[in-house]
Amino acid sequence: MTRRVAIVVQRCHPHIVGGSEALAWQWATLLRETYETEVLTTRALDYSTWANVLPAGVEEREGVRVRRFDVTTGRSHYWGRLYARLLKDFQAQGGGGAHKLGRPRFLPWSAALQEEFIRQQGPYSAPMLDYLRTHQDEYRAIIFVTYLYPTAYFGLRETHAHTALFAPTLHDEPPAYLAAYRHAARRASELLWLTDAERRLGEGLWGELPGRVVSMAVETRPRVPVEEAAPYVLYCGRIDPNKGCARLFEHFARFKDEHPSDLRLVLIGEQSLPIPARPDVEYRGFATHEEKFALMAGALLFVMPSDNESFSIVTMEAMAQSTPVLSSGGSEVLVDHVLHSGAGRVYRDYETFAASLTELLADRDAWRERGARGRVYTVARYSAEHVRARLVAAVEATAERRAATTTETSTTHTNMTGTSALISKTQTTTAREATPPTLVLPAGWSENSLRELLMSVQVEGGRADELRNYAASDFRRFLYTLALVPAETHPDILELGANPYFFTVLLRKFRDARLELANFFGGDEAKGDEQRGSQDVFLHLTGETLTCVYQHFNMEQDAFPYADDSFDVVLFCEIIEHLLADPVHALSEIKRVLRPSGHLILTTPNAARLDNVARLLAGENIYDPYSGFGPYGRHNREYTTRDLQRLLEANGLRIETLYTADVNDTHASTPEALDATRRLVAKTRTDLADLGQYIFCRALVDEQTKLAPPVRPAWLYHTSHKPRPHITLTPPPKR
Amino acid sequence: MPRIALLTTNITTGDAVSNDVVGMYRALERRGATARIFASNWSFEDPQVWPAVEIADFLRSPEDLLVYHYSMGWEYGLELLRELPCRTSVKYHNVTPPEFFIGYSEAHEKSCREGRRLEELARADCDLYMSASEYSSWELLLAGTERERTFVVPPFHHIDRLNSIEPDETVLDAFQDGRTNLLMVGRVFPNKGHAALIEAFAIYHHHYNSESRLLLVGKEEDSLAGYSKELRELVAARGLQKAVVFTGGVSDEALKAYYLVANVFVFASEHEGFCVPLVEAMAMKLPIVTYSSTAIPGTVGKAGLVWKERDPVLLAESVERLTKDAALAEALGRAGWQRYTEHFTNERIEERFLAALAACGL
Amino acid sequence: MTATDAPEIDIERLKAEIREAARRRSSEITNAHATRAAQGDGSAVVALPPLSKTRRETRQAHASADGGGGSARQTDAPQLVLQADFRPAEDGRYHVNDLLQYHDKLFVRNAYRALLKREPDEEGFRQQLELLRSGRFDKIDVLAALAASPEARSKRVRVEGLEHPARIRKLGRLPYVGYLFRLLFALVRLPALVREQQQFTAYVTAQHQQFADFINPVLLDISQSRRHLETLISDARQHLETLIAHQSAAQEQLRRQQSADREAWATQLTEMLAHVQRQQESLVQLVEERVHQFAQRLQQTRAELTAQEGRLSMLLEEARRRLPEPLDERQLQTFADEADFARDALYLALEDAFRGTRGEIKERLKTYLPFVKRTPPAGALVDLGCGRGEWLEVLKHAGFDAAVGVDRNRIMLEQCRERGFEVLESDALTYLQSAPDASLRAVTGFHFAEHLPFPVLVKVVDEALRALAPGGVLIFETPNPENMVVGSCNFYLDPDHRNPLPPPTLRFLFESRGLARVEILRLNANDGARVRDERSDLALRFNDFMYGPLDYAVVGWKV
Repeated sequence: MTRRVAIVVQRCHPHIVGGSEALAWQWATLLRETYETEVLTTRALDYSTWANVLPAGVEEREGVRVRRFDVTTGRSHYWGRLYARLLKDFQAQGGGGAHKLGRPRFLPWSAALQEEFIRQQGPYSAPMLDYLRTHQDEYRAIIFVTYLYPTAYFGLRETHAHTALFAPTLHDEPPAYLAAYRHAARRASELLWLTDAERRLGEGLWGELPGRVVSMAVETRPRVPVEEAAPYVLYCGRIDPNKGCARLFEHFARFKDEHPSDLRLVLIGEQSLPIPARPDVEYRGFATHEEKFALMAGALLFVMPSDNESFSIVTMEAMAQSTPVLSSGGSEVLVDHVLHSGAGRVYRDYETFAASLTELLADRDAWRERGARGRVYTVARYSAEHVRARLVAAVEATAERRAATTTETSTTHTNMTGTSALISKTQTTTAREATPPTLVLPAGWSENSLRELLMSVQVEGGRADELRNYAASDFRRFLYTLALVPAETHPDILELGANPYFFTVLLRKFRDARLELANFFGGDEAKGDEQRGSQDVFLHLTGETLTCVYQHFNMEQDAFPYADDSFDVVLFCEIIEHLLADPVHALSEIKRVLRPSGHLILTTPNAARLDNVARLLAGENIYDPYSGFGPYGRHNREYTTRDLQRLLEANGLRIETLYTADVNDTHASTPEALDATRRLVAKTRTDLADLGQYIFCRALVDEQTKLAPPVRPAWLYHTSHKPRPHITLTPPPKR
Repeated sequence: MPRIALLTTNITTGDAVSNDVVGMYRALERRGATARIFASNWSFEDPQVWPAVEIADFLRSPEDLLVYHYSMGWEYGLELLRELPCRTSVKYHNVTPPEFFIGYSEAHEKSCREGRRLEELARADCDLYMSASEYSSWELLLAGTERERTFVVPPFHHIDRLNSIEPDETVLDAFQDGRTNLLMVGRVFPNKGHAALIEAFAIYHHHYNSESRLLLVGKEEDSLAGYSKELRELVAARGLQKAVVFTGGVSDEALKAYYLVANVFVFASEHEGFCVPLVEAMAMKLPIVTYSSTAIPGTVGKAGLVWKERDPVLLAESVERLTKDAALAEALGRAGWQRYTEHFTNERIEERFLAALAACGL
Repeated sequence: MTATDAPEIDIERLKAEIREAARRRSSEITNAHATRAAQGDGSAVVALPPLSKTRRETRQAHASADGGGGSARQTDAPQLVLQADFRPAEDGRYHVNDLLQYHDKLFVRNAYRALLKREPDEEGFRQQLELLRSGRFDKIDVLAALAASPEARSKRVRVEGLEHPARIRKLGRLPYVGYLFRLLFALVRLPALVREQQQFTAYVTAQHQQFADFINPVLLDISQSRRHLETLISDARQHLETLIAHQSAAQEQLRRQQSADREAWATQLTEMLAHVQRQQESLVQLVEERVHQFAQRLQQTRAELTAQEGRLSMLLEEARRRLPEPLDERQLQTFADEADFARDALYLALEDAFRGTRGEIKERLKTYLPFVKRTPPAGALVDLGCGRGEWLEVLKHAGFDAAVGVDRNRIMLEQCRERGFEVLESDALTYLQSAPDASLRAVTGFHFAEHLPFPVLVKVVDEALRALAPGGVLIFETPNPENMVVGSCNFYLDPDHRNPLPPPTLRFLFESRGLARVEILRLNANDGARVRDERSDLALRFNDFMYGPLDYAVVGWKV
């Protein structure tokens, strides 16, 4: 299916400081690394008129394509009057909050009047709706941000439920009591909530709905604390009665008067409220991004007095800087944050406020501990990686639901599985399984959660987007491979070519084994004396960090730095096709280090995969292009099932399992071409078993095997080929 | 490039036939055809209307086309249809059977009786017959038109305008008050079944929901004072003076406002050629409850509650159900809107109009 | 709850539910009406029937009035009335005939209503009717009996003309005398009786007539309405059929339309592709031409360069030799020769300009490969005046390694060498003379012969014949003067050409010098320009003269 994802938002421009606009853009930049991401928006800049000021059409910004459409209905005084009417009726029926009772009282407005209100609120863009109507199938998913505006409301109406995701950023406000929004929300395949509180509000108003809390990412990189003479409590944000600052000032002043200390209150942000003239209250005006974080990091406590926060980014940012939080109990969201994180306290009046501060001053370590918890909480939930993982998961879930419902994709699916079957007896003597094992998933893990896990892997010095794409596309391959690794025993396993450690992660999590890793990053390092290395792997999903220590050597030249008979399993996956000169060397070394009745698990791309056949028939070339990472960066020799069988058997390995399977649906050829080819091949042989994308093979090593000399068959080596006689160094046996 | 003349008797803003004529005109204009509107009486300047008597100067070539919007007896129209040297077509806007007016208005009865000379239309042997609905085209076929020259082309309408204009807020102020508003739109003519509607509303009001109101939006004519009088008597007799509102003829702004405040669109008409108000209701996502007759089932389709049996309790019960189950009302309204977008937007109608022309090589 | 939140609702199910609810509700509603009516409040509700209904009735009335609306006809069918209506007299005075005109039931009933001023009681009615029908009583008796009853008396009804006959009947009932009296009386009344009898018969026939008059129109009406119905039904069926036909036609049309569209698109697509291809081709052609031009320029400059070298070296050479002694014969000769060579550049330019591109020429020359292939595989193949070495190249490609080119144009030789062909700078005759007997496989000269004075040409042929091995071939190609344009003009494009050689001349030369199986090949006809009128032999001849083959070759074999 297509890799394009669209985010629909009422307006989009760097100068706009709107919550939902910011959210839309952040998500766009997060998705950018996984999908071709687009923002569908209007030409408007100013929400009071939605006038068309920005140029229509397509523009590229930071790798995101922005499509702007004309606003055909802007905002007029007429809407102002409708809004006044809405407020009147809203008050008349006793205001909001009703959803808490489970039976929301919606405004008694006719559907037409409600839609009139929404349309007149603007920005209503007929061209955008036409575009959605005609182009929605080109997108894997379309995410509508903010329930309030026509862009989302009418957009959802035009978009098929299987494609639509809806991030309402819902507030408990009068328009939320228009039933029309309720019905709009039900047209989305899933709702994406910012917080649990929002979800509760939403389900109170709209009833049970499929969805997940995706939330928005906050900056979590730790900063160097500012050096301050005296300890201080920090507040960031608009200094404004609505934010509860007046009350904060009272409380703080009173506290200081009652408990004299060198504690200070430091404020940054836009000021719209006189600041008490006290030495222990400092207004620092505006702060740059970095100054803000430094101040947060240095603060003894971060205080958030506001009662109406919908997400409170600043609080999250402060928590990410390991700063404990004291937050007003008036805001459901903040209460959730504090309670779930254990990052501080909630205050409801002066007493609770004062109590917290005294406790803080009395036992700073305890509060430092709270701060630490705060960071764990924030990083685990609101780091970019994690938010992206949840977004991608949501998109993929939608795509899967869609695929499940559309017959045409399901047929291609059966074709895929059709290719993954055994090589028939007519072609080989060794008995093999008929089909690849069905993906055995570890208990408690769904395929999605696993994919999410792997996609949240970040390797020290690895490019996030490359890794994620790799994980996403080869995920099933890992599962097939995992299925080949014996589960019950506690084997010693050598994983060759472990970087980027996706499979290592799976082994660590789901196999109880002693694990040795090996890598080879090209010639120079090999010559270099550095024979051991280590890399850190972050699992954003679980917050774990794995340290992966590996031996570094060239598998087709060097002797493996391990003693004979030291492993039960050697994983030799996606390597053999990279080798330049002498795969048999690697094989014989593997034979050496494997114990008798040990297993070689080998996977490699299938040279004769359906796609290749199709491309050859189409007169295209199937050779791997040259790589920037040098000769080892490309596939120098791919194998067919028969190649592999002959090579392994020639070298005395006993093949237990050998089959091909598709692991993803990325093909260079069109589906039509593939089908045509499949039919053609069917004419020439009895089965289509070995057309899968990858070859999966498990071979047994026994005494005879280990005695068998290395054999370099003529079909693989030129007669002129003289293998360099290699000296087997025997390094000191480890462990 | 053939010239096309749109001919009708009277053309004024806001009535269904005129909207259709103007809509057709715009469609042809967009298509780059040279078209003109001809009428004997008219009440607006844009688009320009030409006196019917000058039509012969306009349609000279046998390639030219006359589209005669037939909505009442008009000898001159028929003559032109028979005698003009060019190709001819008729858009048949259904004519109410005279019986409805017996005892109310000689004039109407007479004009309708003259208006229903479909056999003559058929005999005129035009290149194309268009009618607003399946039902109307049946009437034409029965009158003897050839089926391969007889097409259903719903009338162009002013719904796009309704969507764009701002409603009359005094109406909102008056009726957006939490009471349940039942809306009926249509001239106060004896074929519109007001009485039956009032009977049904009486039951709804007295037995289901006294916090309810029936809004009867539509022009009243002095020539039919008798009918209006009877209706008011009935209202009084049923004790509904406070609950039934006769708005008389209203502006588009007010009309929109009435649609905005309505909860259900109710209808009991006994004879309709197509019924634009039903489509307006669909466009407004207003759930529809109506008795079935003539073109009504064809227009509403499955997008409303259409009752064959003229049982007032059924009507009342339907309204009750819709007002009690908001979700249901919304769904039914949405179904209507769906039907509107799929069949009755001006774009769709334009397609069908051009298709009809094409089908007859025009 | 029907399909809450689902955009598609099951209307039918919903309606069923509503219908059910309405049914339950309607009973209590009607009750409510009743009670409200009883209480008297809003009694109008029931008092006034639904307006719409009355309206529809009046409309029907009107409809039937002006003869429309078949429904009305049935209701006002004519009523059958056989006996006149009886009105009881206020004053209670009757004449007996008032009552006698009635018969049977009606008579009895009217008798009661007249005499007793009441409807008959069941018992009495049955009795009287029985008596009457049995014949034991006649009407008079019945009347008398009733009139005699005390009830009648109390009602004071007088029936004139009843006493007398009644009395007579009494007499008739007297014993003995009675019989005689009745007999006598009967005789007396016989005429009256007969008249009555006749009256009665007349009356009955009248009745029958009335029956007929009534029945016939009714029957007529029925049959008419039946026919009416039939026509209605058949109409409806027709319309239904036509409608169906209409629909299927529409579908058919739609399907054709679609397929048409599909084809249209297909053709459009192919056209576009073709267009693109043409574009590409023309582009490629353009590029090739450019490259060719540049190559040519390069050639020319190079050519001039070599020419300059030639002259320079010559001058230097001479300068050294010059002083002091005067020029000798040989020096003069070299001068001359070098002067010749100095023309090489020019000649090459000519070649390039007029002979055609290398590719073209090679194509043409391939014509001769079959001949060469037929020669026994021994000895060298010599190309006299090899020029730019096209033939040598053709040979090489065809796998003949032993090809040698001979030419005097240094620049051309240089080019050939660059291409790696074996060539000698020599005059053709001297070369052949130096060749041993029967040492050559093939000798060729393309556009070579016309450069030689005829005597020299003869020598060349002789020498070639000598040097050729048995089975070897000699081929000369030269402009074909049979084509007048060639003979009169193109031949002289090359100033170095001597005289045009007509095919017969060369053939004669070959044969006369002893070559066998001599044949002439006419080549490179300019067919493109031919006058396309094959019927007129003028046109044919014109074509031959003007557009006939531009070149021809003469091929001869050594036996």
